[in-house]
Amino acid sequence: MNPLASIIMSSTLISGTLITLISSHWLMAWMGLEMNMFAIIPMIMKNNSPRAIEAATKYFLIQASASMLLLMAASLNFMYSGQWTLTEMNVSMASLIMLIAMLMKLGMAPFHFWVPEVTQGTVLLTSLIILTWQKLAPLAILFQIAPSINVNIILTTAILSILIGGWGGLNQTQLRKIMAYSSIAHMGWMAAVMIYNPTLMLLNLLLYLIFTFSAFTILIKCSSTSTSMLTMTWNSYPLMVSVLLIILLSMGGLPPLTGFVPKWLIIYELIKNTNIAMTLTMSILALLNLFFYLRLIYASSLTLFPTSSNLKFKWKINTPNKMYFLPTMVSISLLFLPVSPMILMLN
Amino acid sequence: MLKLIIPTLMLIPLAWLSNSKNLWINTLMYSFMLTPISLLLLNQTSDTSLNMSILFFSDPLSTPLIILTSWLLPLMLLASQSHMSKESETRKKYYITMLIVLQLFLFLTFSATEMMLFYILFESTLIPTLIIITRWGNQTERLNAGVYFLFYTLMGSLPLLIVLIYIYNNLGTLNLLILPYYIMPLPFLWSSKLLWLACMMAFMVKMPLYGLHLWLPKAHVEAPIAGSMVLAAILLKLGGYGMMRITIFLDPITLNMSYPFLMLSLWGMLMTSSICLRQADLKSLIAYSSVSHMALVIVAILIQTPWSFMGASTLMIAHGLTSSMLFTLANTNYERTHSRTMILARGLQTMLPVMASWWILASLTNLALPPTINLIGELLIISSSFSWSNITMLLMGLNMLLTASYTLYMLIMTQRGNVNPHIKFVLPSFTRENTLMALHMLPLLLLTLNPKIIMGPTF
Amino acid sequence: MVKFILFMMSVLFVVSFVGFSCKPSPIYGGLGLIIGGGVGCGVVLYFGGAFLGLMVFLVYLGGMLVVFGYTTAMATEEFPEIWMSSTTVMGSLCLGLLAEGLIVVYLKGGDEKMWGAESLVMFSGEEVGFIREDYLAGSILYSGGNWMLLLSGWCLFVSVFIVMEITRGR
Repeated sequence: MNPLASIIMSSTLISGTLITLISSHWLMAWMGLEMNMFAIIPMIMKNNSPRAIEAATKYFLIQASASMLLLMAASLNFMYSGQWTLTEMNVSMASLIMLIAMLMKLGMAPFHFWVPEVTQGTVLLTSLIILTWQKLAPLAILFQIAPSINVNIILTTAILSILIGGWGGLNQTQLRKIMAYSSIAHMGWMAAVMIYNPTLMLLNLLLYLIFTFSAFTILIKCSSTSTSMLTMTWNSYPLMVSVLLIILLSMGGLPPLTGFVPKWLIIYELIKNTNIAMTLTMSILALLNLFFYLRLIYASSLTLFPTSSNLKFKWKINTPNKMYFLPTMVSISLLFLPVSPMILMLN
Repeated sequence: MLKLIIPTLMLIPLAWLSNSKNLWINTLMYSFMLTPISLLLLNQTSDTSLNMSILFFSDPLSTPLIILTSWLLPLMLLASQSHMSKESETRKKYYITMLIVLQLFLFLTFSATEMMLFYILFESTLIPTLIIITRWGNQTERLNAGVYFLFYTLMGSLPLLIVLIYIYNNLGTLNLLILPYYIMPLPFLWSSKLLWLACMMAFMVKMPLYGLHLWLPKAHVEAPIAGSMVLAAILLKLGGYGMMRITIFLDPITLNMSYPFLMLSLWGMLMTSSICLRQADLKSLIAYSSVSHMALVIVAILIQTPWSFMGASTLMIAHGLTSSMLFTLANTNYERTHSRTMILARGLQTMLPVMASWWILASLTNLALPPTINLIGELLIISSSFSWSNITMLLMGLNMLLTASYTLYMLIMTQRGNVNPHIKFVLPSFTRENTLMALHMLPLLLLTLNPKIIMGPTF
Repeated sequence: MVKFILFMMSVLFVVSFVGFSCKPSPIYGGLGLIIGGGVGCGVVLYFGGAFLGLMVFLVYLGGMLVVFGYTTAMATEEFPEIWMSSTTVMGSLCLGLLAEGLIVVYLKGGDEKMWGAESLVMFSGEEVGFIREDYLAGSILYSGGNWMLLLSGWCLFVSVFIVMEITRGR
């Protein structure tokens, strides 16, 4: 893309989310979301294949209709309560429509069908942005309207998302689709705790961002988009496979890695609100997620596939793909659990 | 407790910074030096337990297990030297790091006071074991074995997590030192039954209970020798230890709820012993014999009498050492013939007589010959189960008969008779292997002289 | 009488919608849009939204439809022939200007204030005067809503770039 256009798109993308985060008026929040959406459309279409165009179209249609629902909910709220403040969403019908709009934006079940296809249709870096940065603005809105969210809808959505995120990812070999289903499942966990303790949703979001970012960084560095391409990394980047193991096990929620922290705290909050059967269902469905992460780990770290080169010292020109903050994030995903008591103290 | 944790943690930089000549020597020596430090825990001053800090303690139940864990690390390192000799140096260091990390987690698990900390560490022992089994196992079935191992254990332990948090919400604490003063008897409701099941299932899968034991033959057979050793010796005992700890929450419905599991264990003990008689695979035979012995331990723990707890802890330690020794012996066969099939390695007494004597000693302890601690454990369990119900005497007697049968079958098949004509080249026993067997056997024999240290909290 | 005019305008509105939604060729569709837009403005005017109607007429019809009309015309005939001879064009332009000037002189013959256009914006009495609501909104857009205006302007600017990026490189 033309560098000037690229700078304009990126700055609009960033400022869109920031505007939604800092706004207190519904129209401002809506504007930020719209800026976000249409700045990322050309980024999705960067490589001009029919699949990218299809991905961009699907993304646009879903997000545009969700924005329209948002505007309608805000107007309904204004009609019955006379104010446009973001945090005071007292009309239950408006809160319901707003929740549906945000669920569509986040790609949670039953509105999740666009996530795998859009994530698959574009390059790794753009799909990283779709799965991480684009979640910030809708979750910020949900965080602010959290007291008025309809409990039944969001808990149903949470369970459905965890189920679909786990079950749908089982048959995938394309890494971007696997990450998309993983994102659906994680959003389910975040939604489940949102009504009880929104700060935990933020903690889960933060850790999810760290894990997804690290996983994508490794995939970008090894430039692998499918499981079979991942099997060749042990030869080119031997340390990456161990790092990938840690990150994927952490995403699966295994103690003592930090991926266990959000699950533990979320289970704690849900049980405090006497929601035990759902908690049990959620944790067992999270094992489905762990299964396909384990399959990726098998393919990359724990088995040695025959690769193109068996040399011990391979001549390799260093690719220009950078590893953005990978060591920091891996340290966090490995060792954050002992630090987690401090999080509880801050709450 | 830090006097054990920090040195174990420091073994990891030792492994990574040693050069390839000194790698095994360094790690072996220093892990041997750590073991006597764990013996200091035997000095139980208070009436109930030796309390180090608010996080870690050791009582007469966990101390023998901690000592066994720290004793096992040098043994594992000794046993792995041969099959790791062809790997690159980095991979060797990874392997040793996995073993050390596993030892560390096991150590922390047995000494944790807070049940939540116990749970986290219980789960965290899964990761190094999974990596050892799937990365360094020898056949393609190891992938399946890893999946079975991980998912059986996790499915069992997720309800435990939820129940622990629920109990924490109700009682306010999960600290094992305080809990005996806080617990209330469980009401006779359906939800209490679910709570009982959720608490126990994790440990039943780990032990394993007969119906949930499918992961064990796979995992034990496909793991490399160190993996098999640690699985048989310690990881199964995690289940027993956990069950003994968690039964304090679960009165008085244990009287009713434990019936199906007692039945299943008693039946499973007989079933798995019978299966052992029909095994062609040596490691598989030893794995099923582990299931059988552990079924005895489950029976003991579920009966909940003082003698049965003594029997359970004794049998856990005894079986740990015995089973680990049997796996090591099977590994010496494997390294020579690269096959686990028993009929391929017959008549070894003529070729490796010293090893034959170790085989005999190991088999004798496996079939609970007096006066070994295996017998003491089994005897206590049999007596206490007789007091629970007279009929179990029949089943236990039958089990002892079957245990003796398959152990002798294994012994005679591998040692006696004509040498298998297919064997071309069998290296004589290494000093390392003999040392390994001696180090397994010596604690077993010496504990016969003073078994009270392994008899657990109700002695 | 007013109701009748309003009725006719709504009929025309609906007819024009039917006209372009049956998907004729773009030129006739554009015609339908223009008529519909114009008549809709009239309806809005009758219901008192003078400013809104005026803005829609100017911006929508004047701006966007003109752009649409020009692009359609360019798409159908890229290299247009000349219109007529320049004498005819020049002549009709001068005639139009002359006619307009004559109308202005005729209207100015009356003696009241020029155009009477203030009454569109301000109502002034003896001590109090207030500005009509919808013209007030125009000035508030620039004063209190400066951030929103800035963002909307930025969004429109970015959308041009986006459209260019999306349609580039086929």
